[in-house]
Amino acid sequence: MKRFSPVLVIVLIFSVAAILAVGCSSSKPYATGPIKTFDPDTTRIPMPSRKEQFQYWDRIDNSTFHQIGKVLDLNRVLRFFGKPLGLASPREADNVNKLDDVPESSWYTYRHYHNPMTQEELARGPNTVEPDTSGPWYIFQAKLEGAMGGFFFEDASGERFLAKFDGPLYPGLMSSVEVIGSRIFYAAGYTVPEATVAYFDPEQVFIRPGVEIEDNGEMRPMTMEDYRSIISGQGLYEDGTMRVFASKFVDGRPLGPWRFRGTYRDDPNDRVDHEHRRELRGMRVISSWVNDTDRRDANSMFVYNDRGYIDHYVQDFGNILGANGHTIHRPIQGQAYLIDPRFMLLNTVSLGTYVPLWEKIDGSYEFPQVGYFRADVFKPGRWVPTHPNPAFENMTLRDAFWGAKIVMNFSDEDIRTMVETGLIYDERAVDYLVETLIKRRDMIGRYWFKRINPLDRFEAGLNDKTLQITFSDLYIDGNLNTPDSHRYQYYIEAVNGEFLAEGVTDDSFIELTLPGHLLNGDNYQVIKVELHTLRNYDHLGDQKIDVYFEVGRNHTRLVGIDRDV
Amino acid sequence: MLHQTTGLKPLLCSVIFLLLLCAVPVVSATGLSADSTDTTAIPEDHPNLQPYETSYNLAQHILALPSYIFYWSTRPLGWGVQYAETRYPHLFEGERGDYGIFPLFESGSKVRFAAGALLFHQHLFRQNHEARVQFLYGTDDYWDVHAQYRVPVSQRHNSELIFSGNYERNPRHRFFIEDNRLFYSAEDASFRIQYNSSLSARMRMQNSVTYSNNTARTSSAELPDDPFTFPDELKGNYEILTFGNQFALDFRRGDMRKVSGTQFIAGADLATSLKNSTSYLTYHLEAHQFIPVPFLPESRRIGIRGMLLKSELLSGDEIPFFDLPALGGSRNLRGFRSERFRGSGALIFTAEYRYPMWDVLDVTLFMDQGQVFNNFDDIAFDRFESSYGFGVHLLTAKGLAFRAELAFSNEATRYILSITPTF
Repeated sequence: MKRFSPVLVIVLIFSVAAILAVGCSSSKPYATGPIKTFDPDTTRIPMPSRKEQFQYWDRIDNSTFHQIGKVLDLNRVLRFFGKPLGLASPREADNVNKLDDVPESSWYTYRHYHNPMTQEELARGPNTVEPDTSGPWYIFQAKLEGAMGGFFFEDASGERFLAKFDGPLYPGLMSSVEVIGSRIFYAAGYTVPEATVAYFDPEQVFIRPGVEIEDNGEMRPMTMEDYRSIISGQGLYEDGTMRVFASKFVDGRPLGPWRFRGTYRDDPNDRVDHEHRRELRGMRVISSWVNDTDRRDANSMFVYNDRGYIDHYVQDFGNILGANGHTIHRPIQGQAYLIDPRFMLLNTVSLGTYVPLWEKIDGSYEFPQVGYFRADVFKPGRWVPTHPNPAFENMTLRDAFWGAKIVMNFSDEDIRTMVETGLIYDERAVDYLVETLIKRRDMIGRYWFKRINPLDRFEAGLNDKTLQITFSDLYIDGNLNTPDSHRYQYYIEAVNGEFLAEGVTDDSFIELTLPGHLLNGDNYQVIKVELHTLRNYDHLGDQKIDVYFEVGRNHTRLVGIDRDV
Repeated sequence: MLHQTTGLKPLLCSVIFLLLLCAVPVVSATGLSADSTDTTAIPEDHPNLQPYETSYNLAQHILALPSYIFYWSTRPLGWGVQYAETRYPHLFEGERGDYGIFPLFESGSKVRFAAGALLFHQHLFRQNHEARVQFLYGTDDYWDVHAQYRVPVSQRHNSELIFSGNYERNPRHRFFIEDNRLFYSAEDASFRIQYNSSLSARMRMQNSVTYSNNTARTSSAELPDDPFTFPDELKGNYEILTFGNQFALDFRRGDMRKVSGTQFIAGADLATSLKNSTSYLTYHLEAHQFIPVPFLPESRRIGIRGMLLKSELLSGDEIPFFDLPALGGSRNLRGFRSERFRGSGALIFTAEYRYPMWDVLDVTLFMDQGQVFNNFDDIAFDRFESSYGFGVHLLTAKGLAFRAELAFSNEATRYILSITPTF
């Protein structure tokens, strides 16, 4: 009798598993009921235990072990090799509704893209109060974690804040980017702490009894000498005040950082692996826009709120735009990981003849209050943070489109409004920063909208028996080209295969008369509109989009969007 | 055998059956439907009440099994790092921290492999008074302990006093006579006071006095029937006092990486035996040149080193053998064993092409040429021994932190792990 070898058995098991795992399930690409707009992860739970914050392990883990683990995950390997052969598709995000969008949750709130914010709202961002500088500040805790000096204080109104100071060589830089970053991420839909630039009287700061500070690994009472050491190097303004970045204590109990991978076991509401959340995958595009190079576990925060569930904060924007904490970004940041085997291999085998981009450019800057922040060397598709981020690594084209449309939704005026909240004293620096952000925004639009069809905001209405469909071409809306450069080819059918119409339109409007049986029946019918964008200048971004509408007597409803990638 | 065969078949069938059962597609929450969008009375099956969830079927778990195993096998390391980060935060700050500890590894030097640690404190007893203790334990019961205390003297002249002590024990120290490898047991202790100062931005001076106590004994590695044994006349205890002077002119440019320019080093050590009338002078001349490769960033550079060492007997019978210039080892003629060639003089030339692999990593391709001699007349082109190889250098702001190299020669292929630069 023939014998099975153990190796053969293992190979067979993995082969069968591979076939079953790669074989995709198929469900209807449209909703037959309401569209999901909210993910109910806000059920009251007991307060989970606090998680320690570590500055190093997440970087080590994500840079080395996670990278090796990816190669050992045969699901990922099979997808990687199966994709070019047409046998597998990218692993899409888990929390996406039938409109290819992210429902609201404790992670994400519909803001500027879904509900346009006014300039005042954009400028206010998450803020509800600002530090009261009319009276004394009392330090109630020394800041221990993180690389930057600061302290926790209570103002005259009893509000509690974290104070962080600019690097002595770059006055005004870190405090401004912290505030600008909070406005941008808040408007994008994320939960961020309140942040403001404050000017306080350094002589009106006192230390509460019992405050301790670490000194050579030992805890001892904090003294005014320690306070003076923290503020040393900070310049005084003519009125004797000093500039500081102040972040208000969040409402609720901070429980430590969340991770960009896995779920939090202590939170039963946390059901979606973070690396498969679209708002975290798509954040890569938003981070690339502002060169948010330090987007990692340690710069996030779980907060158990008063309603009994966990809010997921994104925080620490001191490493965005031109700032790298107390110093400025270097040209390599955003171009490659701190340890990047791809470039290391290339450098090694080329015997040094390959010269990476960051070696060709100098790190000079025009405005110290902006630091090193450029558009001309920005590569939207290649941007990476300083350390690998599992959610960013998983970003698919659909996730990128989601992020890109949020970025492109910020108008020039919006950008200026948010930049001005950083209170940058040099007007030319403000102009430079705004211009650079506008350029980088447009580069993001040009890059990603050429790789996936950027038609969005579909709407339909019935005028008697005439169905009117409108949509936005985000490429045109973003002024990346003129409207006459795009035309749209459509093919419309009922989902049962009944042909309804086809044609080409010059503007983003389609009109067709529906046959009576689609409108007069007892049940609503679903029709599919297949759209292609015809561009005068290239063939990129003309992948089709299938849009599904539910129609019936006096009824139309968008029920599905399926973007081809 | 038959039993095994019949056991595996149903097992395989069962596994496939289970996989088929479990690989039923996970129902996507996005596919759930509801009848009404009325938020005031949301029915239970409304999608807004159905949470998303990441689910994997059995087939996907099986395919991910190797990564699970790897993941959990690395967690203990993570817990260790997290514990260390909490308990000893300065450990991860490198030498930016006030104190810390680094692991040390060394190979290709006096023993095949040695490992230990470097402990440092930047401000021991007083501000900027730096203390370092480094110890290595290696193959064949090798011990090397080095302690140093650095006291700044004058900031203006960048001068400092260094007190250092060293203890080294090597029961299988190699010694070559012609092509024959012998062993002896070496036990050396020394104490040194060194004064470093900068005479100008380009010129450095170093003065030192060293007391050393060296003992050479029969090695346990020596077998009674060995045709060649370590000569008896070289065994014994030596006590030597050495006064050293060294000047360096440094016209090199670059911080972490020296990218261009020249450095000249000249030095002389006057040694006197405390047990007899022997005294001798050892002098060395050294030049380093760095040349950037044209048309490429200057971080791609060629480094060239030339070095001459010569010992001259001033009085007494002969220079202690261990103080004679030697070639071979981790810093010169790297393809040969440590101290493979020994004479009263040594000449070494090294050429290295260094280029960045990464921010703080350099790749190096090198070629060493060297010979030992007793008289200058002995120096000849055809007497050069050659070695070549490649390696990786880990750099810090102060220069080399660690290097790993693979070196080849007509005698050996050697790997080198070292924290000491070649030049």
